[in-house]
Amino acid sequence: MSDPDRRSFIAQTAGALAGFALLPGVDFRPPARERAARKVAVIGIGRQGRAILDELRKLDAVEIAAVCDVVPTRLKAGTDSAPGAEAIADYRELLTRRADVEAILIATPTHLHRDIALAALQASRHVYCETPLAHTAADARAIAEAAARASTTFRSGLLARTNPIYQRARSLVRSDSVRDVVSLYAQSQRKTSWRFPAPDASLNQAFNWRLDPDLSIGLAGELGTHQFDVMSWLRNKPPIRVQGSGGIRLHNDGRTIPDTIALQMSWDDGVVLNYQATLANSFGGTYETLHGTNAALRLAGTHGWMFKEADAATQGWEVYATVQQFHQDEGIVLVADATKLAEQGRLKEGAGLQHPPLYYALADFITAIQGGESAGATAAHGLQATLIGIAANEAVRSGRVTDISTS
Amino acid sequence: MGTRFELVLHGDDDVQLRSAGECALAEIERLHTQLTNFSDDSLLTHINRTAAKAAVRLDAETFALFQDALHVYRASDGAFDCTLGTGMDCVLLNRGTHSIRFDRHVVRDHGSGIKDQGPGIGDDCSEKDERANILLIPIPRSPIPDPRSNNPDPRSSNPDPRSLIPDPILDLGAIAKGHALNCAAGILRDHEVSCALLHGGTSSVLALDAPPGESAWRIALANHPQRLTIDLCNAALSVSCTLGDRRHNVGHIVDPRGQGSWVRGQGPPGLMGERYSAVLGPSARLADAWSTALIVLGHRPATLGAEWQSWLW
Repeated sequence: MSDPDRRSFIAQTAGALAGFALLPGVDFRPPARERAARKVAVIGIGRQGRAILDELRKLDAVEIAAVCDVVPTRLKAGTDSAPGAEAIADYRELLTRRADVEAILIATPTHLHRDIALAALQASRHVYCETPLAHTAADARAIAEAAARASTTFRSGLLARTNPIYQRARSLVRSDSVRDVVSLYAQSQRKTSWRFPAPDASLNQAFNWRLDPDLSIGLAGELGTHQFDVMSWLRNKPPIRVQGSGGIRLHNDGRTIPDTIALQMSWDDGVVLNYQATLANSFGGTYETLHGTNAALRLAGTHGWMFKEADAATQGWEVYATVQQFHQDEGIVLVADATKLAEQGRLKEGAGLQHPPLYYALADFITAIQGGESAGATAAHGLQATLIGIAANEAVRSGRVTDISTS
Repeated sequence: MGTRFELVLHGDDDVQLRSAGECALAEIERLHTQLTNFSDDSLLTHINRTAAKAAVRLDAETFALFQDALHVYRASDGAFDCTLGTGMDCVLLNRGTHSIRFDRHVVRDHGSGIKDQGPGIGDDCSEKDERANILLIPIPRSPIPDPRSNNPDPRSSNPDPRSLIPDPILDLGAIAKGHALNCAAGILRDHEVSCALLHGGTSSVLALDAPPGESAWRIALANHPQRLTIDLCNAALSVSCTLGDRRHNVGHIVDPRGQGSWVRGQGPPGLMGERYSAVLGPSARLADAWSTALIVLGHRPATLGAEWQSWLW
């Protein structure tokens, strides 16, 4: 079938929703190694800290010079993950003694970000800080203000903004492919207690800060913040209002932080995000969906799809697609930058990212340090996302409609 | 790994046990995402995609996995080989940088088996600073049958070149489950869970301390003619079998030393026959590798240390 024939075939048979896999563009380039690798240190070697180390090892432009954690077993996990890195328990010692370390990546519990980030910026280090930036608005603002004053680079760990698939999706939202946004949906579902066993009883509370209402901003803050930011970024404006509810559906072990929440978050044009998160059921996992009048987008970390409406005009690029089945709908696996990929004979390559989304965020951070072009989340983006997450958590706690202030 | 893992934990504190078990399962999931060949963003895919062009830095744990694979490769005279694939001459493991690299330019003499990299070997290698303490695994270049092909056994006729498995170069399918169990058990011990039984897909089992009142966890080998029962305590057991797909009579273990043929057992049931092995010892990762090697060898090699028990039928 020739291309023109195929185009008309698609136009005539698009009665069912068609799913298009959104492939990343082929233009991503990891930061090149300069004369010497950039020396970095990771503070906080829990699960996220180890994930950061896993991705940093892939970057030739980086040397992991030090790892830092107050817990000895985690410190050892850090040196296991980054052979050759120096193990330092106290971040203040790291900042004073290792002047050669120019970038700090912070993956500690949220409520500990503030002091470390401020000290690192004060010491003229570049900083990558996981998001939410803080568990209180005051702390988050303090970080953002310090970052604004600093001469070094600050990046917030909001992975969508550097994810090539999400970037592709955003370009579709801004084109006629999706058109007017009708509604939004997102979820984060997993089955886990959210408890972490401590090596000894004295560390139990510290390890389980997520379940401490004084330190944790709950599922809305810790999980939702990233997904709310996806929607704010795709829509190019933040939500203005949120209402929510939550409860304990499974883990009735004395905790007060809900293990299941539901939220409705509104934008100024009336568009609503329906959001749910739970620790009691894993069905569907984590993803975001945007429904437009021409198409819907579903984004799931390393993968993304577009489902076109039957009456949506063919854009042209769909003709390069591979067919994929999505439940009852015939999906057409399309390739972003199809023409370029077709020239390279790579049209049939897989439909997902070549690395976890975290890799692209870290690559962007290093590129920014090198003075290159960066799409990563700034401190201001991190502050906005954090304030939305804090407001959402407050809506769950209070059960009241809560206005969102992102300034 | 793509299989079901289960943990049986015993202790006094349900909440502590659950959270420790969740951490262990999370570790298994993490390793699955790192070591699978079926995901574009896994570490193993990254290695297979990158290591021919540049050294890939590894964490100590993954490096140890490859070192164990190398150890069994050497001790089994190539009967176990995680490099089933095509296109590379050798895999270089650099202890100094904890890195892995494929190289097309070093060691053409596959017949001599594994070699320790030393000064003067492979002078055509471009990165001499990476040469110290490098260990080489020569990769067989024999055709590897693809079980998805209609012609799974290349010995039966001339194999269709298109049926050869082109990628991946490294495949950890025979050892990853044991690796995951070792790592998960380490996490349980770190969290003071001492009494536990873990298994992956029922073919890889690892036991910590025995349940109260028992001297060991009792494991029955379902396919053993006498239904052999094995007592397992602070040890690992791995079982392996020639037959992978019973419906199509297709094996799942290839002899990497020969012409890439499926390993066959003796006699019925099934045209290919069946051969089973079981290996018990101190490491689930090594047990996995050895149970595969024994299937290929068809006998217990002298290089399998006294700390290991084995059965072959």
